[in-house]
Amino acid sequence: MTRGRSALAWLVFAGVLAALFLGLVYAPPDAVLGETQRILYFHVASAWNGLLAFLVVFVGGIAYLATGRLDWDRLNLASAEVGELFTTVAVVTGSIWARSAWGVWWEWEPRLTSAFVLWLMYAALLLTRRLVEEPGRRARYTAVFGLVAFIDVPVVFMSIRWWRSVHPVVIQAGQINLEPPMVLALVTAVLAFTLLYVLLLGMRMRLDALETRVAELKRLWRERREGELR
Amino acid sequence: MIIFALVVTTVLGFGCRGAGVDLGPVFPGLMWVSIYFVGLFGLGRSFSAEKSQDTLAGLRLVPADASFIFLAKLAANLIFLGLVEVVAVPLMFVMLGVPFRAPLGPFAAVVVLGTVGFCSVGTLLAALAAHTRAGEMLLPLLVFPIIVPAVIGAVQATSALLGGAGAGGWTRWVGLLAAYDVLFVVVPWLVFEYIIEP
Repeated sequence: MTRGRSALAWLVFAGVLAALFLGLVYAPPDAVLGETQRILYFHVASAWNGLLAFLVVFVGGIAYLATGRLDWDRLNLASAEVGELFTTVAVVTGSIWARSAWGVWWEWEPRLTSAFVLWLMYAALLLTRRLVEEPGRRARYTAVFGLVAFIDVPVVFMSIRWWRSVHPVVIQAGQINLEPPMVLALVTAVLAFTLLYVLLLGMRMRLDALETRVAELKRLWRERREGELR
Repeated sequence: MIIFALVVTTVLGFGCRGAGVDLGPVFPGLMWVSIYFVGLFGLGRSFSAEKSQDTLAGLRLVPADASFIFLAKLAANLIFLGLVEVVAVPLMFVMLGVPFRAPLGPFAAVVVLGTVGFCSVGTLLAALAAHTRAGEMLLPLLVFPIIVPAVIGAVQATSALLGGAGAGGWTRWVGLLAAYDVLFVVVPWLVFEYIIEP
C-alpha cells in the first residue's frame, strides 16, 4: 500500500474503534428502548454512506457522459459496490432494530422501505454491469441508470412517507432523544464509516485498475504468441 | 398482451374469489400490479426486435435527434398498453366482483398518469436492457425501483377514488403522479441518446 493509503487505513481503524467504544460503552442506553438503541449509531452511519456512495455514482455518471473517460466508470463501479455493501448493512441493521423495537422483522416504514428500494437500485445497476461486456457501453449504461435512479431517490422517499402518513403506523417509530454523549457517538460513527467508505473505494478502484492491466497484459501476450506461431 | 392480462385476471379470480374473499380493499393493488406486469411484458418486446435484427442503426439514420426515437417508442408503448387497459380494466372489475363507484374522469386520468410514467421509464430501460445478455429478465429489476413512487401514487389514487377508506384525498396522489410523470418523461428523453449510441 502507498503511505497515504496506509495512513488512511490506520485512521479508519482508530476511528471505528472509537465509534465502537463510544457507541457500545460510553453512550448511555436510551430511556425507552434500552441497550438495543445502540444499533442506531451504525445503522445511521451505514445508511448515510449508502446515500453518499450513490451520490458519487450520480456525479461520476454525469462526468463520464460529459468526458468519456473510463476513469469515471472505475469510480462508479467502486462506489456502487461499496455503496451496496453499506446499504445492505443499513437494511439488515434496520430490520434487526425493527425486531427489537417493534417486534416485527419488517415494517413498511418510510426510511426502511426507502433503504430497501435503494438497495434494489444498486442491485439492478451492478447486475446490469455484469451483463454488458463492452466497456464503453457498460460505462454509459451505468451512468444513465445511476443518473435516473438517483434523481428518483428523493421522490421515492417522499412518496413512501406520504403513503405511510396516510395510514398511521400503530407502532410508532421509536422517538430517540439524543443526549450529548449519544450525539458524540453518532457523529464519530458517521465520520468513521465515511472514512471507511473512502478507504474501500480507493482499494476497489485500485483492484479494478489492476484487473484491467492484467487483462491488457494477457491480450498482449496472446497476440505475441500468435505472432510467433505464425 | 390482452390475452396475458386476461390470464392474470383469471388467475387472480381463481385464487382469490373462490375463497369468498371481498377483494374491494386490495383491488387497486391487484389492478396496478396486473397492468404493470403486462406492461413489462410489452415493453421488453419494444426493443428486442431492434436488437435481433439490428434495425436500430437504420433508425438512427433518420435526420432528427435520437431522442425522437424515444418519443416514438414511448408513443407506441402507450398506445399498446392503453388498448390493453381499456379492455382489461373493466374486465377486472367485472370478473373480480368489485363495483365501480368512481367518477369516470378522475379515474381515467389516474390510469393515464400511472401508465405514462411507467411507459416512459420502461421505454428508456427497455432500450438499455435489450443490449445486455438476458435483457428481458433484467428489465423488471431495473424498472421496479424507479417506478415505486408511481405505483404508490396510482394505487393510492385509485383506492381513494373507489371509496377505499384511509387513502386520503385523491388529488394529492394525482399531484404526485403528475410531478413524477413530468420528471420521468423529461429525464429519459434527455438521456436516451446515450443508451443507443453504438
